[in-house]
Amino acid sequence: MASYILRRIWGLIPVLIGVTILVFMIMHLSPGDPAKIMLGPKATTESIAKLNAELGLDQPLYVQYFTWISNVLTGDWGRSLQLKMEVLPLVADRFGATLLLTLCSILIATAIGIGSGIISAYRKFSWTDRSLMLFVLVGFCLPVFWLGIILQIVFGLKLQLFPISGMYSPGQTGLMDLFLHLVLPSLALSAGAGAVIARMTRSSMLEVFEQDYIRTARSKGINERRVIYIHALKNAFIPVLTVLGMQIGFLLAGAVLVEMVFAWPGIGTLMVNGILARDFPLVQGVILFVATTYVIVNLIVDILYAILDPRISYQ
Amino acid sequence: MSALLQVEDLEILFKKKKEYVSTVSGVTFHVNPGETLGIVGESGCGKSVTSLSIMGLLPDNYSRISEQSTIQYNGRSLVGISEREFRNIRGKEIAMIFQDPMSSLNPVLTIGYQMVEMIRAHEPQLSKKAAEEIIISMLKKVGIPRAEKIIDEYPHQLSGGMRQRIMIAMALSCNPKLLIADEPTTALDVTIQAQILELIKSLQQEFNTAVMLITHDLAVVAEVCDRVMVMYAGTVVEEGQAADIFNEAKHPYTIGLLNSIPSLEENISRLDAIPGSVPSPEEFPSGCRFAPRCPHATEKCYNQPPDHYQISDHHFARCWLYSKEGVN
Repeated sequence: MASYILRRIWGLIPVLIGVTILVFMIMHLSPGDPAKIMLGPKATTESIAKLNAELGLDQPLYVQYFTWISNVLTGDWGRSLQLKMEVLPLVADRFGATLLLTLCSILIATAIGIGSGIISAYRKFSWTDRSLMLFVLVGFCLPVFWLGIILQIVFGLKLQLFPISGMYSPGQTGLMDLFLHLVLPSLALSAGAGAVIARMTRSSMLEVFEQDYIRTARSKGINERRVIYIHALKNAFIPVLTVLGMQIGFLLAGAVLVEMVFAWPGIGTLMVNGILARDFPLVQGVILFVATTYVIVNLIVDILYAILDPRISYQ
Repeated sequence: MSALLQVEDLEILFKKKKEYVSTVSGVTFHVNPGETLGIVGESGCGKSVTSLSIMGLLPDNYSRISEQSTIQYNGRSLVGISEREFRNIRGKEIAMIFQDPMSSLNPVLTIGYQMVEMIRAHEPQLSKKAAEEIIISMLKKVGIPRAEKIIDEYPHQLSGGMRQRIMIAMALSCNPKLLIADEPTTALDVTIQAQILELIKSLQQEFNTAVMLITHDLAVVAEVCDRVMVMYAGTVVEEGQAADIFNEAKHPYTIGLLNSIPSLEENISRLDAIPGSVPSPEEFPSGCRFAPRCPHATEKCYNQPPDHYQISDHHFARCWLYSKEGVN
């Protein structure tokens, strides 16, 4: 088991190198000159060239890449061009908020998705199944930002149940306050992922229900709950887990939009502002952070596979 | 002696395009304590469906048992009882082993877990440790080496023959009075088949369990069964002592089945096959269901379903040939 995990971690290295190259290329090949943006429209050609030289942006791309990557490895993620702050502490500080939001959403999405998937599969083709799946389809189709705004209007403005922006009310730091602020953004963010998980759970459970071992389980006279939650779900959960891992990636990406709508102080807002300002170091830092998280989440998923499915060998 | 299982006029209907179509019908048989009843027939003749109906395992969203059917186990009716009551019977009173041992065990649960779970479902007061001791002794009885280790292993680590032994050990672990074996050897290779049959036979004697052996393999029947019931297209066409069926088969279908077994003694270039195939339930003829494939069929056979006609004490055939009035 330990060697399996080590091998998986070893395999991450090329993936992460690829990610850094992509991140770097995308930012540098996209149009827009940071020096121009920083100096404003009245800047002279000389001052722009001077600033570019100062920032090292006049050097060939591969030199810039190696400078950046070696700095990243030593913990120096550069300074934000726009905010004039160290990137790493800035991103790390904001990332906590995003992670909290994403985790909450994935919890909601998993609970609702797996729950409704099981009910749908167990009552296949019934009205319960049909209405659940319709609901799920709608949830999947709604754009996150639109859903966010609707939730703000309904639960925030009309019903006044939950706060609609920020992480804490001014002057407060309590857990309860944080929880209330979390509700609407996590709900908005979880809709799409929950829908995907529900559909996957349903089809996976339907397939498992047809298996011989489910018939065997029933023939043993054990109660139906055990048949569903132990014999069926344990098998059906394996493909759902794959989707779950991928959804975490989408959630991190979707968080950007939700954070904008709810003014959630996460990396999403940071990144959007960074992109608008062509703030290379900042955007690279954020993307690298998100990509690494995604890769690590999928590593955890792979390890969970091996735990859940005894047929996957560690060798 | 009163029968352990008494099935009378069993009719099973399956939903096809919103309508219920009768598949198995008029099936009547009994199983005595400790005996082995063989149920023989081609694929699709209703053998498995009949056994699943006894276990209450038919999918209730698209199949049902008609009202006049009776299934009595030890004097108790099994038709229309609640799921909870059925759970107390499944596994404890009537256990079942299935055709394909490769897919009949849950791949993500250990052998020990799957076996202990069953024992504790019926005897919740037993500790896990005590249940484990029972299964280890059962596994030893079915000839599994290193039983103490096997309980921590997963099904994919074992061969097909071993898995079927485990299924048998599991099925017998609550000491059921009736074991339904649905083609238990079909998926195994020939040498293993004989071992598994031998095992079922010896355990049956040890525990005095009645066995309903479902198979399409007549050689298997000849080896282990006391009585044989031949099914065709959802009906019982012939029933008798094993010797009656093998030496004095009466129904044209049974004769056809026996003739299609290759023999080592005779050197024949072609095997006798029964022409045609089993019709689907919507296409069952209104008369004798075997009529379209029967060499003796007359107009009467096509129009009127025959009854069971007695040949000797325990030997019946559902064929106009053996009625008083004859085929014409």
